[in-house]
Amino acid sequence: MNGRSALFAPLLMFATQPVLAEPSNEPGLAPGGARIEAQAHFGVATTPFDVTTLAEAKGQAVVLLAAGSYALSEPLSFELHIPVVVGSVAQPAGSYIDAAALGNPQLGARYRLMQRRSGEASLALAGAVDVGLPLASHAEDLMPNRVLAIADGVEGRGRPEWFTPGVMPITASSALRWASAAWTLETELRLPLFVRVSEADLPSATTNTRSIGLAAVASGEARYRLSRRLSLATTAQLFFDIVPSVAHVRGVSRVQDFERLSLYIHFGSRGALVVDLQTAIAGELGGAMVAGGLRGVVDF
Amino acid sequence: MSSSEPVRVAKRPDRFPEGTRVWKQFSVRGARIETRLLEKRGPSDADWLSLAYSWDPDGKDALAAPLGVIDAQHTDHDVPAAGECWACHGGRRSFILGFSAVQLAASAAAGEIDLADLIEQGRLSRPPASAPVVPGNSVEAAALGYLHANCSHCHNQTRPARSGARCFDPDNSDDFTLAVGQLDGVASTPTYRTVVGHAVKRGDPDDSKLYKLVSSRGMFRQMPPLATEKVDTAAVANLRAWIEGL
Repeated sequence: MNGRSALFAPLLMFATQPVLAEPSNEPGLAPGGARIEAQAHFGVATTPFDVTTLAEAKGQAVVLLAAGSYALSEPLSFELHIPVVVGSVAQPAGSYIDAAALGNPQLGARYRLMQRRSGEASLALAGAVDVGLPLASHAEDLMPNRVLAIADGVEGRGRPEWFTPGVMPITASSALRWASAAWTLETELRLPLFVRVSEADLPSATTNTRSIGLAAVASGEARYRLSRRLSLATTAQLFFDIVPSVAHVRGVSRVQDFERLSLYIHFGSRGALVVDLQTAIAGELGGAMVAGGLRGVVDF
Repeated sequence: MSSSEPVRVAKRPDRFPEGTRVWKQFSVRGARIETRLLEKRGPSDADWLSLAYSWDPDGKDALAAPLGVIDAQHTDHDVPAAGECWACHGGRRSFILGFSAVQLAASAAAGEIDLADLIEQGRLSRPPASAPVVPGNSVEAAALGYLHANCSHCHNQTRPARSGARCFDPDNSDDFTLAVGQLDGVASTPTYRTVVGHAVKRGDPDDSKLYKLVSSRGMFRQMPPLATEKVDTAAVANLRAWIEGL
């Protein structure tokens, strides 16, 4: 056995074990069940920043997310997402300064509107409403604001409700999910509405904040179960900048694509570790963002 | 300098009197874009105020820009944030850059100041006996001068230990300084003693780390790392000729 074979043999054995358990992709949680999620995505991004004198935010960021959900009943569950960002923000002349920021924590309720089963396949439709606590960090030096903008870029501009300071986001969403033994297909549409509660330290002379903003995010994921332990998934997402919560100070593409390739490593039916690689092809982030990282999910 | 106290000179100016103010102005196609100010506001080496002012498009007023400006007045000139000044200026005890005997030795234009003026006005604590001359032929002198002016404020072996913000931690083994007392010949300069044979491979610019970095731009693959987005093609051509001739 050469070195390469020695390296890959355990992985192949791991990957080709027969399917013995249903993956943890059952829609929803059993009543009284809970789920804990954690995420760490690291990436570099250059994103629009709507201050006339600082029209872009550039740098590296680690987007940390702690999330939990609890199923009160068969159709109803409650969710909490807490995003935190640490990173380095490029200054105009090219130096980097470290910064950290809290995003807007999200409290949500998810209701399963419909579920159908047919043999091994299931179809589920859910609706959700999330309300963000307007706690995202901001400061006079705009460092937290900028590191949040970079984090928004790392996530493909697809989670503006997490990373927009000075607003209370209210996000309505619906998700349709079809799952079989091998395939899971899921689509989601989210409509984050931003209600401004403060100027978030943005200078009035060089910014134009709006009292209301609105975006739409449509995404779809296709996941294939390679083995008992492994799944491979690809995600595509489109962000639509309908009414920016801060008026753009330069021409900014109003549509943003985002693509993610993920490897799921399942641990029985209750847990999974996900390795993500994500980027954008066009829009403001095309050629200006690449990121990757880990997500972990455990059900109780 | 508002004070009658002279600039304290050891081998190079290393302490300016309280009240010293230094301005630097940037224009693009004749239009004023930015004016930078450094002001010594106290007795210690850390008592410098650094701030850039960004000019209005009509050129009538300039406003402090502590956060800096990206692409000021729709040019490709970036105004640095106040905190960035320390990244380069913090590499010298004097904080002021460019105010060295070598860089002031040439005769200044009318209305500007040069080394002879400073000596005549009694502004230096230890004035040099004669104006220093950069050693070497024209290519060597130009290369040494470029490296001194653009690299030595970070890459020198007398960098002060500062607790303030510094954006980078440059390699201290390299020293590009040109200083009075080390100008007897090219071999006497710190550049030849610490860089040639290491970051510079004799006769081979394409395999020289220094040449690769000064001739490219991009995150983590350019020198200087700050305040430059374009390659200085004339300087790079001279550096190439210098390395090929080593």
